[in-house]
Amino acid sequence: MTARRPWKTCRSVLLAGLAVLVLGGAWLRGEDDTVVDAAAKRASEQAQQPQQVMLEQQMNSMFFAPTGNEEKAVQHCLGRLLLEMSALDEACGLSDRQRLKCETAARLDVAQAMDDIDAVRRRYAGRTINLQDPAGQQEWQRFLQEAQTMQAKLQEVGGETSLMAKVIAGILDETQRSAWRQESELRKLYQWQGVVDAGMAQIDIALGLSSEQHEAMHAILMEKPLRINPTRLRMHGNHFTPFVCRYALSRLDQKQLESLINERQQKTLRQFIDQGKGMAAHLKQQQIIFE
Amino acid sequence: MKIIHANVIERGRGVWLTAAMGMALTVAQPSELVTAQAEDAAAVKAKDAPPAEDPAEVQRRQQIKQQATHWEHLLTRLLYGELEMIRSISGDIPRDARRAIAQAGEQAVKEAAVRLAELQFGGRKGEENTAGDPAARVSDSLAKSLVEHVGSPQAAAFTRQIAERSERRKVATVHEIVAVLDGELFLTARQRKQIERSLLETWNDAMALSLEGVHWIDDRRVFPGLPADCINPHLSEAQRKRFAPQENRGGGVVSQQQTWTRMNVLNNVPAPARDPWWFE
Repeated sequence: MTARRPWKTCRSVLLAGLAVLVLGGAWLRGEDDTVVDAAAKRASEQAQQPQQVMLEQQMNSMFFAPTGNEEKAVQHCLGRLLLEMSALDEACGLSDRQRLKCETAARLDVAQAMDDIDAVRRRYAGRTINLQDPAGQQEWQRFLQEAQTMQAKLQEVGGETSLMAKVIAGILDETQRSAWRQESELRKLYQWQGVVDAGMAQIDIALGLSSEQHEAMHAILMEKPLRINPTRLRMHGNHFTPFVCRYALSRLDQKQLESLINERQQKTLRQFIDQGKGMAAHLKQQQIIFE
Repeated sequence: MKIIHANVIERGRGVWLTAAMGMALTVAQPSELVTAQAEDAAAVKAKDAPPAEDPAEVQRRQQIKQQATHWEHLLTRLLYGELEMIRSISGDIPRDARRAIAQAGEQAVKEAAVRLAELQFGGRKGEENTAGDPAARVSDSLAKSLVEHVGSPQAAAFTRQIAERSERRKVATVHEIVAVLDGELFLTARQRKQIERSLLETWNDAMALSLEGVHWIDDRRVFPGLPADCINPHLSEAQRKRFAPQENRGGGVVSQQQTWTRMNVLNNVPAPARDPWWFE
């Protein structure tokens, strides 16, 4: 390898410098600059292009969550009603005839729910919306709300206003009715206690409650259960449960409540209660609480 | 982009073109000699200078610091509750003693917060990747400080209250689990009692994972952490078809999940005011 003299190196530097000046920007611009320009242009074009969503394609996965399969959703729904019938049978000892009537009512309830869902599906059949367009965005929001309602409809088949509930009320004799009423009350109380337990866990920690204070506060919450829809509540996991409890606290006799704790604890508790009150409208709108 | 100093060029072991306008362009004539010399120089420099830090590690430490602040806020809610409990139990405490107790609590909160943040970002090298029970860390530290500054009877009363709270939390969690199962499986009152008893007898903290979110496998709801042996014997055949237990998959993963579950209870807890009595 031969060594270059410094002046030769200097000449090379000058030549290179000159080349930069002569060729200017074009020489400095690399291939990647073109890529960046193209990407920016593409992004700008994409922003203007319609973003089409075919609602019909989305329907099954959203209406029949979690599987997105209509048949499985129907079976799941019917299965739950048949479990309720089994519980009824265990509590009251149904005759074959009563069992048959119950099962028929359960099947009709599921069929009715599916008819209602079909009516909504027909409305969206063949509909395509553009998410870049404000009208399309509004329709998408409506569609999402409708999907949530349809999911809830399937989960709530067999509720208080269902045919099955009416049939049960009609076919039971006095002894059976009393046994079933008792069983249903126990279930409601059990579900309510789940709400109180979940809500009290946080209050317990933040207020530093003693065992006696906890027990007393828990007891007055249990004395006045709110009318809730446990199915709707559990649809959101445990997210809303503490807020239902906090709202329930706001409906108790505040003097009685405050007599259980000291002034510093009262101050902290008021924050919890205010949060519960703040959530009430949403909880009612979601049909999680009814009062 | 490389900028090579003029002395390297002068030595004639390579041709480096330094262009105008601050640009440095290299016309590569790589030589092993140049590389070797540059490496030697770098080695000499490295001996004198402090070791270069891995940028990824620097970034990780920054993230840990930021995230620790978040955990500290959450754990402070717990700390203030426990200080309130101590105040209720112990009555008047001399000023210096209460300040020492509060400081011990704050220190424990800081340490627990850092452990949690480290767990989020890869843990500590060479250590088991767990933050343990952050709440227990704070309570233990307060109890020790109580013994030191106030007295053993007060510390024992505080520890007893914490243990009772822990026990009622366990019973409440079992109740919540069975309430969720009831919503899914339409249990009878008798079944609810049996399952409750069974879960309490074999309780482990991983069971609480079943309350975290809503998980499905196909059309069956999954209950992570719930042992099938505690549930299935009490279910009818039809109910069993709809119940999918998902027992612990691995100690480390479950242990981490448990830590987050423990911390979740502090979410959405309003931030209580700092009681000046402890810090004046």
